[in-house]
Amino acid sequence: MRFLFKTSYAQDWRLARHGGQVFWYGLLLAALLAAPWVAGPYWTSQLTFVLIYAIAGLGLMVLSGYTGLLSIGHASFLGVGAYTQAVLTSHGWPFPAALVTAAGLSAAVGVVVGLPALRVKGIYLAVATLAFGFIVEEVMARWESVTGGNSGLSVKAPDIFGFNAGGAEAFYMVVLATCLLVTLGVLNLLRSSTGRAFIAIRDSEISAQSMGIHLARYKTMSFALSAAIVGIAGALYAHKLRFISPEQFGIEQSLDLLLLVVVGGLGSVHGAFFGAIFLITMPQLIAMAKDWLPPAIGQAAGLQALVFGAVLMAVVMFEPTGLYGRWVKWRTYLELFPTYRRGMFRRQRAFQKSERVR
Amino acid sequence: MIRQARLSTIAWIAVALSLPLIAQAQATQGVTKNEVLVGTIQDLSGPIAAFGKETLNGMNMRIDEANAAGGAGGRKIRLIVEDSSYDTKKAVLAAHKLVENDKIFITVANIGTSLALTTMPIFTEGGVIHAFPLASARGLYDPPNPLAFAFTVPYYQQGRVIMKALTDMRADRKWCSLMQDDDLGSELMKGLESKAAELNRKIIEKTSYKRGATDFSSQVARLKSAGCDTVVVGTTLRETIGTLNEAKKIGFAPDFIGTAASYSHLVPKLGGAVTEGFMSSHASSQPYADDPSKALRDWFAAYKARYGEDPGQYAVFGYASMDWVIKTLDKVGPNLTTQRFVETMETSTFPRDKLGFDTMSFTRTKRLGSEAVRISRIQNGRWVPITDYLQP
Amino acid sequence: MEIVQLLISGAALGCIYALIALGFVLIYKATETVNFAQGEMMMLGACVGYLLMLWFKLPFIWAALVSVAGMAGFGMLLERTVIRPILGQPQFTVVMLTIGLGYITRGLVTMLPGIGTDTHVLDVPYKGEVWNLGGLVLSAEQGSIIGLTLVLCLLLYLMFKHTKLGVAMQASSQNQLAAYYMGIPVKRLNGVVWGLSAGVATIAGLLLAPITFVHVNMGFIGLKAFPAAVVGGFGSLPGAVVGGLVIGIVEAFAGFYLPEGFKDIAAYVVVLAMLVVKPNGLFGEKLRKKV
Repeated sequence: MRFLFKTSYAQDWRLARHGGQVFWYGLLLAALLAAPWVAGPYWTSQLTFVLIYAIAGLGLMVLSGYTGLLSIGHASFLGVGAYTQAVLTSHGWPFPAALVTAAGLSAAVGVVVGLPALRVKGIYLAVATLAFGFIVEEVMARWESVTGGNSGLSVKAPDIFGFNAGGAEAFYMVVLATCLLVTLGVLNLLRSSTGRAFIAIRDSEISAQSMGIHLARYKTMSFALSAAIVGIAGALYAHKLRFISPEQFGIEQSLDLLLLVVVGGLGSVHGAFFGAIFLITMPQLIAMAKDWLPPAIGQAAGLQALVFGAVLMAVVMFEPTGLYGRWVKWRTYLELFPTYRRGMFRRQRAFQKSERVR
Repeated sequence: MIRQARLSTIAWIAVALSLPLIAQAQATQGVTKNEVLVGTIQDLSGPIAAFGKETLNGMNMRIDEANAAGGAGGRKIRLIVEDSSYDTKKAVLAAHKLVENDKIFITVANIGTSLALTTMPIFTEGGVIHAFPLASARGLYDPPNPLAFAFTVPYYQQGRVIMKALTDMRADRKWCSLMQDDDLGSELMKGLESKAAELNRKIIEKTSYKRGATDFSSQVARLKSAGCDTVVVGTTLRETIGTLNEAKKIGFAPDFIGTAASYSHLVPKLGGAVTEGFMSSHASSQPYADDPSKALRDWFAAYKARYGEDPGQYAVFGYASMDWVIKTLDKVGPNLTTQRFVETMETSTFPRDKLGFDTMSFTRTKRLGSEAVRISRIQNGRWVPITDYLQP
Repeated sequence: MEIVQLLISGAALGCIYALIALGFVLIYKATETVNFAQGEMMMLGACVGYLLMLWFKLPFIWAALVSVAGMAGFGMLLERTVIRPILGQPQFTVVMLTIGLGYITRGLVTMLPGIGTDTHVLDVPYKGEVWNLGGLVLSAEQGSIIGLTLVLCLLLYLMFKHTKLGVAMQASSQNQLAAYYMGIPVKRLNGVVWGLSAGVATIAGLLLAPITFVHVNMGFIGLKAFPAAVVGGFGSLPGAVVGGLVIGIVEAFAGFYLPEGFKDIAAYVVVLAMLVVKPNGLFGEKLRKKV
């Protein structure tokens, strides 16, 4: 059992709470760095997708998990980032400059999408973001001169200071570096006053307002930051797939992102990673399990939809803190063994509060 | 002298023993003495799962026929199937798995246009032949890639043939269009307009709809008020029937013509009487149980006996693409390498067969089997060809 | 003349959205949760009706009645098993739950032997009939949709306004704890409401089947019903119908007069405009907490 004695204020805001965390995360980082040479190209490709979706998940987590604003149109930011990156790199822009511009343009679109957020709440905001998602998708399809329309657009390999990073290992390193930077950025955001303001807005807007938090400014900032992060993920996504088309950024992708954050664990940075791992590896696991199932179920077209839906419902009903929450419970059990109490994480009985008078 | 002889004998024995090792080191991926590995990425659980399953049925039927007759080129064929659910990232992961983990020799009949365009580089850069994707895009065969072969005629060429063939039937037409707003519609429109410019025609009214739309009342009303008498529809199954129903309802009766996307036995089956007279361009035949050709009747019966349902266009595609691959494997014979397969394919010509494809031929620079397309019309609930194969 | 015809087509289209939106609003009015699986409920209802006609050779009217009753029971069962355990959780949770429900429904329906991934035709007795009213054309399918939407809306509105059941439902949606104190059987009411909503969805599915055909993805039209409900104001039943009509008519006119592509996003532009001008919709209620 570990006892944390706090002897200075600095300990409250350190990234790693104790040496054990430093050790384990260090090991994880070493494993990730060694992965391309140990695991082979197929697993490297999977890890690259996991990291890209983790970045996108972090973006949505900042908005939905930490500011409490539900968004069902987030794939549009992924698309804006992807198309910006594709168009700029095809005009010869270097990768870092294009990436920053993609993030910036996504943030600008995020501000526009966030404008209704200032006036509406809850389900109305969800429908507004849904509407924006469809509109942005249509714009991407119609603006043929820039985006190539429905025929799609080819994307060149990333060119970093003259070094072609298109190979599997090189691109994986680029993605890993970006992911680390984004994660550190989000962790810093949450340690800062802006992050605390976001969490206050999630918990109770009226209380936040009473504490002096300017709702409009912080909500807009949340949308902009979230869109910027998802835009970065989109830019990397474009380089990974080498070919993008508007249909990849529709409602299905938005629902995938939502699934990612909810199953991973809403309201935690780890949740984005757990969710990304779930989203990318679950289809492979289902494909492997198909052979053990009776043909009526195993060969059915809707098996993956069924499994995804079932997992989502199970998470929502039995483990609202998601996969990360379940992991925290196990870890606590192991840490406190044998003094773990069954009721440690039990939820309080709640009565539904009307969102209309929140 | 004896020592020299012994040394040279030892040297010869050493070389003889290491020959198999050298041969193994240079062996082609996916090829063993008795087996050749074929991969395919289908949609088995997504929006076009019905087509994916049908394609797989067609492919398996041809593979089992070949394996029962002793294999292709002396090797049994083993098919490894991956499911993309029409999702690009799953297709990319599946492609990596096939190339790097399963180490296949050739991939056949991958379904989905944007998926094929995304995954083709993974295969070709990994040294795996990318053959006959079920996708319509110029990028799959042009610029010519040494490891890529295609057979589906893109919608661009289909549009050109539609414009030319119908103009030949009757020159004075008021052309209009109803397009799905994706690559199907945009490529078809480009093809139509390119031929229209050559023939000095114009498309006077253009309408579109989003994939999955169910209401066409305003589009059809617009076409009627523009006075169209020839409407090209870039639609798939349900939208075709929806458009025809709407047109009948408001008493609008132009010539409707679609593409291979609407050339399916399900159109007359689900649409009924309203589909009479509807035309489509296509590059293969719809098999019927009572087809005039005996070979096609037998094929139909064999498919139905095996799978319990009528074969559609996708079963034809699956069967035909495997058929061309198997014929080439037979021609190459026991000494199978990627290079020899490609060279054999480049000198091959596949004549018109029972499945209705035009003559397919490939060369170093021509990677699309045939650009020719023909037009059929629904008469008495069946598709009947009204033109021969026409070049775009 | 064209304009009137467009109005009629737009109204017919709008009533489709309105029917599905009625289901949303019903649940929202009584439990303040949004059912993102409403489109899938509609699809399930249509599939049940189709299978009843296919396997048991029931005539259309009987198949319709049995499927509506069956789906109503299924809705109540759903509420009991899936929604009740998470009673009291924030709205976001229920939204995600219903999204998961939608996925599961789509997955299960593809495993049903009669449906699979194919498209099927529902044989309705009025198929193909067209009514000609002096140059204006209205198909029987469209007419039945308009008629039934108006009837349903009227009945539900009267129920909510004048019966004890309806008033109790509204009370429990506004403040659940207070509703408990007043002796309202909140849980049972929720079950009734979900059953009612599933029944309405089935009616929508059966009426829509001749136009969209019965297939596993026919529920995606439910996505357009959201803008309809939002435009009308989420807590208002007449609002759902008016919202649907507005969206349908705007779409019809946009498809006719505006260039390509505008018809598809017309609904969403309208909803955004409405949220900017009148965030609570046309008939939505505006409640404010006083501190």
